[in-house]
Amino acid sequence: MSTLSVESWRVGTRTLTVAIVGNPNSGKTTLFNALTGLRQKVGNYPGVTVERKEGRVSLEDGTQITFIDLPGLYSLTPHSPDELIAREVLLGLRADTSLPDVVLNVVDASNLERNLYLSSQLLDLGVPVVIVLTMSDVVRKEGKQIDTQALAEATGVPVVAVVAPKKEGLPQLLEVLKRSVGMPAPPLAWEVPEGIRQGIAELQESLQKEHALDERKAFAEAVTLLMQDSDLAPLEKMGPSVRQIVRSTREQLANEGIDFATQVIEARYRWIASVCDKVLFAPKSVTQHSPLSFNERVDKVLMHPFWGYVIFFGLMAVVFQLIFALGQAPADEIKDGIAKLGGLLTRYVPAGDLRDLLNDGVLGGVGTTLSFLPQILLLFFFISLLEDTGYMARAAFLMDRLMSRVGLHGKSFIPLLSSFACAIPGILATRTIGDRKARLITILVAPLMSCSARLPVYLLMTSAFIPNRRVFGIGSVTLLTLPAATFIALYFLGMAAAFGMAWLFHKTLLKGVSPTFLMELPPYRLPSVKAAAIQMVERAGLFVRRAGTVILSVAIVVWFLSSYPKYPRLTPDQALQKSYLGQLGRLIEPTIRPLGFNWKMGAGIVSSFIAREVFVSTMGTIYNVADTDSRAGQADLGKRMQADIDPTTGKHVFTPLVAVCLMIYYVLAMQCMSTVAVVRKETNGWKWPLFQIAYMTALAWTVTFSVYHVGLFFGWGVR
Amino acid sequence: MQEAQEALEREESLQHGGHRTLADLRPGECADVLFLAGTARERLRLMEMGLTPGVHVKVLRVAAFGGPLDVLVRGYQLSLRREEAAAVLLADFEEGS
Repeated sequence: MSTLSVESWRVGTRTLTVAIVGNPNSGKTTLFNALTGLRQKVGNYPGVTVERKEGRVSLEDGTQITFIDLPGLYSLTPHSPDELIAREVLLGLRADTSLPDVVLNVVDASNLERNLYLSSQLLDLGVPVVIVLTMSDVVRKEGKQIDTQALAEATGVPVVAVVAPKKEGLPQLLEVLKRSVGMPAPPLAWEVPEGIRQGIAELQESLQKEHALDERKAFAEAVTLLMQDSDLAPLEKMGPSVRQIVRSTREQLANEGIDFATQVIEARYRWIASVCDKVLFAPKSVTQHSPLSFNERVDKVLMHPFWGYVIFFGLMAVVFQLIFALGQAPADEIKDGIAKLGGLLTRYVPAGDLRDLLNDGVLGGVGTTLSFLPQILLLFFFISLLEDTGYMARAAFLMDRLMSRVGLHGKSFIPLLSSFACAIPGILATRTIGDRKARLITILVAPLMSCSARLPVYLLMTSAFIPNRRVFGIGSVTLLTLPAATFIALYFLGMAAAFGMAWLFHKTLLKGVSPTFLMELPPYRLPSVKAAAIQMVERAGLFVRRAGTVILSVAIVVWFLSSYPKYPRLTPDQALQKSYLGQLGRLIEPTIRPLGFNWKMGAGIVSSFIAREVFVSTMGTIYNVADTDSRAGQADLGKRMQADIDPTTGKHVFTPLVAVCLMIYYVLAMQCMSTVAVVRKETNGWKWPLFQIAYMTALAWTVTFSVYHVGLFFGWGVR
Repeated sequence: MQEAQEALEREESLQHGGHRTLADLRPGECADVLFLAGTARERLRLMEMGLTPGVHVKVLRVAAFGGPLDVLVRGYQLSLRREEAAAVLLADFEEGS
């Protein structure tokens, strides 16, 4: 039959490559974790934002197995980069990944019908396949029975049942894997319908000749090419005669009134039905269309048109309260630790440039990164837990109507909510959004949500410039003060801007791309704390690598800008005024003058590219307040800012109006270099991050300008 | 160009008689899929997820304010938007279980 590639099966070294393929929620990740433990390498496939996971295992007999965990797929027909990459790996077309010796197909026994669709496609490829049956315990609990032996006979490939969390069946699986290398190709699963047989055969032959594909891979490729004319289908890469045959076959089928895709998909599901008949046994009481009763009962509550929302918002409130409450203490510890380290440096490193660089540049940068870490770890942990239980899809279901009005996806909600803590985990969490357009829009607007790094800026400005007046209350009980109202307004401004811009992008920039929502609502499962922890560590590592390096380098640059040229005889505030940072503040002053800002705010804006909160410590240096972390220090800083008089105009530098404008600018402007770096990685290029900087700066400038001038006209908040 | 063509394709495929669609079903109602309208690409996605002609579907619930539908098909819960469900034409209508 087909010629199998055995190059990577070198007997001497005994290394083999196994690709793990399966539906999302099939227990694929649990199996991968159980097989490889923490020996995982996570990255991206070059040039695309598809996650690449690899784990290596050495067996007792010296065999080395490399497991490649491919993204969760429902089908191999290329609809998105996920499927495209998986296809390329399985066909051996990628230079960065060797052709798998065995394909490990994870099949969820409790959802056999849909899972076997992908299996039927994998069996087309002619590569040795081993089916791993997960969740058979769930099937038994439902009162059904599944016959693994019959499944092996029906599919013609080995079947191993495992309970991955308990590691049951793993040794047998490894044995079967080793034995499967070099085995003959499994039989083709489905029966090719008469009407399309000829067309496939012709194309298959041409693919074998022109592209040196073996018989079975040529067959699989022929079916895919005839399936659809998607922009993702690899037709452009094909030779001229292949393209010619595809065109003529499509034309001929159209003339005969045959829909190729329907024919293929129906034939596959016919095969699946025959397999299910042989392997799945349900007593009469368990009929096909009584949905999993436990699931249905939970859904009745969690997806209730009223209580569903109450529970969802309640849950989100609890989760975010927990994130802020639990994250605060470790963040403070980290800040203390960094301060102590700074003290040690001061003691042991002689005064000079090196000490300043280490203290203000390096420690400052590391400290800023680390102080965000507790919150981000917790955020990733909770997101992963919610994802594992199956609740995340329900949340998306509940929120989709609201989100789709502005071109977003139900799954955009949690990433946007996460952006209230930090845009970076929010942007990383958009990976679960299948629709590319919705994902891109979510990424573009996520930084408009007020993150926790803006909080210190809001706090400083409101406490110093917004009078503590009562806005609303009953009798002697004040319910809302002006500073509190200002806070709420700032958060709402960010949200309104995010939704408004999303709508605008949906209607203009990304118009015409049809949105899709098609999504499985997976059965509820107990989450695995271990899996959540693994994911948390992976994502946190990503944050430290991507954001941390940027924060560190920007911190060093800002330290340099603020300490040079040196003026040893001047006080720190005077030195800063003459430093490059001060000069830069003056340089951009003309562009921010119309917003009511002077060079001091300019220097603050430039320095807060590290993280927005750095604005506060820059103001501290400018106004000669050393301890901006403490309450007293901040109050002192506020007083000095209030008292500052512009020598040329003789007026106050900061008025309440200027303070409000500055906060509005901070709500809307892209002030965070690490977010830029993450957006570049996640969108795979400079195009979108640059666009994002441009639109956010324009938005911030325009809105701030309008507020400032309207305010001046009416004489609001002018002292 | 392609957009206009796809819109036309969708329009044409929806002309096929006055069949009920999946979007017309109320929670608890069942039906068999007759065929799929929409562009080739849209049809492909739906069919690969198991919504093929002849398959039995049951609407479990519909999200508030005209939100997505939760549909039981081939033993699992599939969620799709109202516009997507409107492309799934149904055979004669039967009472839900």
